[in-house]
Amino acid sequence: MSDTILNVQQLHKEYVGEVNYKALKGIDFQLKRNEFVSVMGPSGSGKTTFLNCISTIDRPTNGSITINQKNPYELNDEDLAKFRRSELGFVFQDFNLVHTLTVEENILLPLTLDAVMAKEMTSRLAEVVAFLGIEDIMKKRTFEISGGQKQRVAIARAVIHQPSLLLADEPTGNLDSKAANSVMTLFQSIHETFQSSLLMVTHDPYVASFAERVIFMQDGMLYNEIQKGDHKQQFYQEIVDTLTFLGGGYHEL
Amino acid sequence: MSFNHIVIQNILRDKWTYISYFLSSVFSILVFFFFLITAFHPMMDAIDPNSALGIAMILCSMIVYIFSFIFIIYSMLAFLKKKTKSLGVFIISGASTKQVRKMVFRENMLIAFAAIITAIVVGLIVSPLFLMVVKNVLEADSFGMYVPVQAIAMTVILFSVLFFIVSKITTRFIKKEEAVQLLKADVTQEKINTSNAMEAPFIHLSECSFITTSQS
Ligand SMILES: Nc1ncnc2c1ncn2[C@@H]1O[C@H](COP(=O)(O)OP(=O)(O)OP(=O)(O)O)[C@@H](O)[C@H]1O
Ligand SMILES: [Mg+2]
Repeated sequence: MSDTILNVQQLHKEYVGEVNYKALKGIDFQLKRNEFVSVMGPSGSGKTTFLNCISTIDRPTNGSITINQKNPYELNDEDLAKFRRSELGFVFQDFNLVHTLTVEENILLPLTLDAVMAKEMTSRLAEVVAFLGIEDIMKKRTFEISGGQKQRVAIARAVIHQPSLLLADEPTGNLDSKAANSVMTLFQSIHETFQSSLLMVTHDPYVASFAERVIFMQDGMLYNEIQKGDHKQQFYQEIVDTLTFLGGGYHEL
Repeated sequence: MSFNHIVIQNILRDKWTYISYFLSSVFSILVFFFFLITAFHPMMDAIDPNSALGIAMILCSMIVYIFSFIFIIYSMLAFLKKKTKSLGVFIISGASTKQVRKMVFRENMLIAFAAIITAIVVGLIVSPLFLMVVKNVLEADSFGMYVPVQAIAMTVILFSVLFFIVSKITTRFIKKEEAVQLLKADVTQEKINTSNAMEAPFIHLSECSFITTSQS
């Protein structure tokens, strides 16, 4: 087994429309198995585009993406769905829960689509729910819970099938700092407990400093990266410095 | 949790999205049913020996049937657009295009059967009244209630076929679009769609009144 879970080579993405726009201009990136990486960069630098290409929900214009030695874009529809169910988990800024289902049903969705046996569903559900501390809201509907709780539910849904790669796009973007902190603590313990690889986009240097490595994007290209040293505080400072250096309207958002 | 559980919850917990579609389906089936009840009335032969009236009634019902096809396809598509975002969520949770189609198809068929049953029951309750009106219009001596077995059978069969075909056609419109477009759909489409869903029943009502007035 190779120790690279994700291998991105010369990734290009051009949005075609009334005006064409090159959002990604040749990105090379590797994510190691069990590594936690944050993606930062000014608004419009292509972070979401980058993540969407990796998460198989938006087809790249050029370049290759391999996850666990497989290129998802070469799979047919049925196999791609299976690939998403077994290898990938997504967490978004706006949660993307199904409003007609309860919390419990939302979490079970990936297993249901995979026709997993009821017994296994119950045991996996119990494990994930206990881990995330959301036992009390299982029977509630998605509009009856808070943003922080919604994000926990989305995380539960993303990890219940034990994906090898977890992708998150500004998972704390809609949360206050307390909820953001608890969601990040959660990501960290998921990362440590389940040995999952994590790629997360964020605007917040504090949130980014939970990772082991931060990569910076600018104008559709990789600009720089910082590895975490021994001190989280120093790591945080380096991130802030790089962002300040990147400047150029970073705080325009 | 099973696949069918999702299908049922999608309908039950989203009643208000489905209700206008359901009611207008019931309405078209009902109109169709009334025409047939009159056409197949046992007294029809006595009143009208060369059965011109009966044939006219059956023709009317067929026109209603054809309009229902167009109308139901239209409202199913409007409806599907409204659901686009949630279909995207199903896809990122690991559903294949085939599974999404299966889910929408089953939802449609469930609503279809509920609509057919409701229309028949309502039709049977209201038909004595309706037949009394017909009796006055035709100035017939007796034009009472009967058990319209033929009308029920034809309505059930023809509308089951209709809903089946229409559901098959509309689910074909669910394509292997990139999931990101589905997820973004609500931002770009919401406005247009709500107005569509509101209009649908009214457009249909005017269609029906057009048919009935042009008959008289
Ligand atoms: N569907 C689209 N069609 C055309 N252009 C797009 C589309 N989506 C994104 N873009 C453009 O691509 C560029 C990168 O967008 P992207 O969403 O990846 O930025 P981002 O780094 O995630 O920004 P933010 O931090 O604000 O979320 C932007 O300039 C944007 O205008
Ligand atoms: Mg973004």
